[in-house]
Amino acid sequence: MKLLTHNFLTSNIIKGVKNGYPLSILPGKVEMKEVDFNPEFITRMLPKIEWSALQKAAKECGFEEGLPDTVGEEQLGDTDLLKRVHKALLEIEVVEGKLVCPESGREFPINNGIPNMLLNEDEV
Amino acid sequence: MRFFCTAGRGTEIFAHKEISSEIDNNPDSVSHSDGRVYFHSSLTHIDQILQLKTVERAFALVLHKDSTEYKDLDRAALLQYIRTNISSKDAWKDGELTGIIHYLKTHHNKKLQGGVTHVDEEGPPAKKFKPNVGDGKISFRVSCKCSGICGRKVSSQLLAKQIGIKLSQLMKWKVNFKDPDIEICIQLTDSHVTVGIPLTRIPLSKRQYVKFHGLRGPVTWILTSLLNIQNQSTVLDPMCGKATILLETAKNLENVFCIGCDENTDQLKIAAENSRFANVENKLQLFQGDCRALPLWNESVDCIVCDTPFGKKFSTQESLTVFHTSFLQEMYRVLRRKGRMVLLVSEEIHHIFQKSFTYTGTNIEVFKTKQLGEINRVKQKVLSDSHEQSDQSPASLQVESIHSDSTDCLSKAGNNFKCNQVNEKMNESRGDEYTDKQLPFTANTSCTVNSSCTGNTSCEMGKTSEQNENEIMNLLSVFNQFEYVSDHYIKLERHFQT
Repeated sequence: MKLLTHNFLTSNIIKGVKNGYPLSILPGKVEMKEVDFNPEFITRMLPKIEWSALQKAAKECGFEEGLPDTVGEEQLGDTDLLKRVHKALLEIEVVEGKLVCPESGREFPINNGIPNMLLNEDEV
Repeated sequence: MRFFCTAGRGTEIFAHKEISSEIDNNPDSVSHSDGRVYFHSSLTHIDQILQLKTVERAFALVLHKDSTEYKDLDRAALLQYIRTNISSKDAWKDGELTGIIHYLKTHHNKKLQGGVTHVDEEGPPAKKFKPNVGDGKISFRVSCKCSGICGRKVSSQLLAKQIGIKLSQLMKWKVNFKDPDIEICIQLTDSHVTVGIPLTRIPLSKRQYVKFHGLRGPVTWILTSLLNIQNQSTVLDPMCGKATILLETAKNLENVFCIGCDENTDQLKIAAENSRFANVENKLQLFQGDCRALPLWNESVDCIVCDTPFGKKFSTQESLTVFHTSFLQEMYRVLRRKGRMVLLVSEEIHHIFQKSFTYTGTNIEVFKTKQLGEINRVKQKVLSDSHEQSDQSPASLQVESIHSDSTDCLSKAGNNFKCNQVNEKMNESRGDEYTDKQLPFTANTSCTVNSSCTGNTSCEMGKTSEQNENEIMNLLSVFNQFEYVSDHYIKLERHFQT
């Protein structure tokens, strides 16, 4: 699972959970996969991304290079920053691990990079 | 010289459009009819032809005759007519055609399958090829396909044999059934007789980058292209199955990030394998979830594309109407404003959607029965109407629905027609690639024939018509939240499972 995907995921489908966002990551096996750097893609994606959630997720995955607290318009020209964002969004791959709902504590397993977000009937 | 491509029923307009823009820009020389698109090109552009996305197979056209010349002939005269025309020297000694045949032979010798870079099909042991390559003679086989009233007058096998003998005398070619350099495909119908030479052995529609096939390549491409993706976009398939649609999207578009969701663990495993095989893992993320309760934020995706269950091969627990109601509601929630959704829906669901167009005053009936030209016209009409509509509702989303029915022509024509076709197929068993192209008669589709004969929006067992009516009204009210863009009717055929 890439952190770009994680950024969209929420557990608010669980009955009684309001936001369910962001899901915490309990990484089991994390790999770095090389992905071609496309600055335009990152620039266009940035406004659609919940920055604080990405920052937190990257930290949980042990991404040491660090991301700034905020990203403003003026920083979009900073190639070095875009590269770091690219790494965080697309290159970190959580192969095995768990996603945890911040409100209910419900765990969602990640196997072979595929998070299982299915719920039991009584949870919906 | 002339070429033609075969395309699934209803997809000809897309093939026509693609060929017009990619290969033949002269509007007068491109034409389509009856699952085929004819166009003008040359050997130098063969690579472009082999890159076409919307077609099944591509052929060099040797001969095309309109049925006006032969439809009243009796059995013997018809056979004579076809024989004379096909074995005319002029047709075969054409310079450009000779070039293409030479091209096919060279490529065959190189064992390049599919004309592109596909080499995995080893074929029979090399021993058998050696004399073939050595004497420089072109080897060929003839495949005939006769249908309709005219077709019944002639036996495919007899015709194939006679043409084969004629050609081997005329062109000094030799017959090779198993692995010929070129195949001569003759099709005789009530509207035309055509002779063509396929440019590839494997249909263009069978994408080399897909390991496990689902929906046919051209259909996945059409769905993708209707998404009209311009900028960087996230594309969601909420019921991705083997993820064949998203593979096509990820493989052919630069600026996309695809998200595939499915309930089924096994399907997701296949999807992951497909993704690895096509080398698009970086652009395609899979997760397991329920498409009616997606773990995604409101308005989080730019595009949605989906082949929804038809209730045949893939069915749903509740009725299709109820299922689509909750499904569409969820799509409405996760799709961004001004986002775009393209759905492939069953005839049953499409029939319900049609009800919502009635306020536009469009006569929707023509979608179902009339020729493609008319569909086009109405499509534009719907388009303009929905634009007026959009002025009143600022927060509108766009929907494209593709209506499809796997068994349309069969169910209309009844069983006689079907048996007839199956018989022809048996005659054709020699031309194995031919059967690969036209496959409405796999066990899978033929058993769905019966179910489709029951008609549209039929009442379910144990439900009153009032309940059904309510379910339909609910679906419509959800559907009407979207802005309707356009409508296409295609006949769906699935890939052979080998």
